[in-house]
Amino acid sequence: MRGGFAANWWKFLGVGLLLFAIPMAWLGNVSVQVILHETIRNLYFHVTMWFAMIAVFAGSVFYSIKALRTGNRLHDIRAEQFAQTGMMFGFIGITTGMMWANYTWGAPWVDDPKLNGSAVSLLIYMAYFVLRGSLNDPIRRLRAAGAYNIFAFVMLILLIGLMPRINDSLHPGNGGNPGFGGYDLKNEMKWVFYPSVLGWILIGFWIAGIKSKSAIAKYTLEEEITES
Amino acid sequence: MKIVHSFLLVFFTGLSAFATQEPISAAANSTITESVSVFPDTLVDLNRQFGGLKSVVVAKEVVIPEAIEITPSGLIILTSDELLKAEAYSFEVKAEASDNEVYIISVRIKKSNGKILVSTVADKIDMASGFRAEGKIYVVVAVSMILFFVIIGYLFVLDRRMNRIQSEIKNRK
Amino acid sequence: MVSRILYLIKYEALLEFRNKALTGSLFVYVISTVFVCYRSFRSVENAETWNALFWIVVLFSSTNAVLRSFQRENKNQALYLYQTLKPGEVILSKIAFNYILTLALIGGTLPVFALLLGNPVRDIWTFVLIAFLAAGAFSATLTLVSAMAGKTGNAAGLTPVLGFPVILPVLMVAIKAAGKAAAGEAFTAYWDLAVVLAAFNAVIVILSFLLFPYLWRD
Repeated sequence: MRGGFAANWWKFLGVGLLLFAIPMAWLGNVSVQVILHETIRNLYFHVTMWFAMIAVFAGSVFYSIKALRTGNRLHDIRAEQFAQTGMMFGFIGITTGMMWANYTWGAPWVDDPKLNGSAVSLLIYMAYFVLRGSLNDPIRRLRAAGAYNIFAFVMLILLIGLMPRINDSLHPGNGGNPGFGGYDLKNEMKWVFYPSVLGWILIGFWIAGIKSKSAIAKYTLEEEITES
Repeated sequence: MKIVHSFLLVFFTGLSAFATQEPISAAANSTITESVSVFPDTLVDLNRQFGGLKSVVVAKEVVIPEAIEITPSGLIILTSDELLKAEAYSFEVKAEASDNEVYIISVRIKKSNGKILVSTVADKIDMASGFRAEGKIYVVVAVSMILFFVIIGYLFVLDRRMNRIQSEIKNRK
Repeated sequence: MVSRILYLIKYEALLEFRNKALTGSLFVYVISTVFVCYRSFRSVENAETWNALFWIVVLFSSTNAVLRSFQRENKNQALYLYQTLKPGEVILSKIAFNYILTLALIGGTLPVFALLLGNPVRDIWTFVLIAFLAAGAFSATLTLVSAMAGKTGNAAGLTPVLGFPVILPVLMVAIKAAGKAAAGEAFTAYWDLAVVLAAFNAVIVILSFLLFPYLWRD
């Protein structure tokens, strides 16, 4: 690998963290909850997908800012690839979440703040891809999609931050729901959860990086063909 | 398979904690009739009733009446008669038994004819402790690790291939 | 800068009211939408439903109004503006004009709604305050998003697609706060929602100011 270990240590860190976290997710002790039972272990698998999604989207926004500042099209390509990777995590998160909800709350879709937040984040990035798809001029695409990416991400973060405040009083009966809020996690669960989150975030960046390299190679070759 | 088992035991010492002990008599659904005249006085001893409780906790969201106090050792104590009029109170506590299983104990307190009736029902929260101990879960862990290894290995190969293509493009220019 | 923005707002108004039929079409849009609601619901007993319906109608009609802000001027005028003005001034003046337009639309929608579907709003002044704050966030978001959508040549189709998911948090806060105003709750119980709405306005306007220069050049 180019750059050797010094440039790639974070990939190994991600793999190492998950090598610890995945077995412990099966074998570690967990809090005993009434409705959740053993499914609380989904915390290590399902919830981490959302963290990875938000982190990879943040990476996409980072490249969008760079693209807007420098006008460099390669950054725009990276932003797109990071957003696609984030969407992948989002779709995994939403399908696993529906599965979990079906067995604990009795329905695949319930009116829950986190569910609505995730649905909105997927909608936002679908709109982002629609915007990209309907712009053929690369400079226009870079500017419009980059600006939308930044704007939408800020609004998404505000939405996630505000959700509990808005929803709690909308549904007063949901207070005692053991699924969210009153998690009352055992301390040792956090020692599996946080490495798991960080591990998946790093794997997400890695996948997005590979996708970016592939897309940039394709772009360079296409440029050469049009030039010649 | 023994090798996998012992390997996992070395690395994940948490596995050895699954010692099997006698479960508590969960089916016990008892109604006690007592009259209390001195305060504070113990209404019911959950530990004596069910046996083998390690700790009793009241869940955060459960509201218990002011006149009732619950100790971690499983005593339910009535501190005053004032709030306990003709009404019935019911609430739930969480109890951890010595076999590491967790029970939800529903307690119902009612006063009638000068006597206090307490009924308790224990329900086990089903967890897969037996499944983990004897159900060869290590095999599943091993399989999921192989899956993970293969996917990660594939990512490494892809990464290297992309780097090679990138440098090839650069060299041609 | 302020004087130039004021001048630009006047210029926007001039362009808008040059074709009175088009301006009138906005109000016809509102009235016919409310009438459709009236014919499908007959009367809305539930204050919550009334409130939600009201904000959805406001959202759609303000989208309709804002959409035109980048279509009013033609290519040559845009080129002239680009050479003489700063992009920040252009976006601020457009947001300000769309804000006024959205407020006028809310002012038009509210009586029609009250007439046809009943008026469950108890605390009208707080409701109006919430409407003032929400209109700002709506118009600013939609103005910026319609500038992005305008690049594709299909602004009418893309503005709702791009704008609605982004505007959702504002809509949720607005519906909740306005619902409390309608129910006549004391303002002290939910003043923080009004603060959140005001903060949304600030964030959106600042982001528009920062991002519009990249959309402006072409």
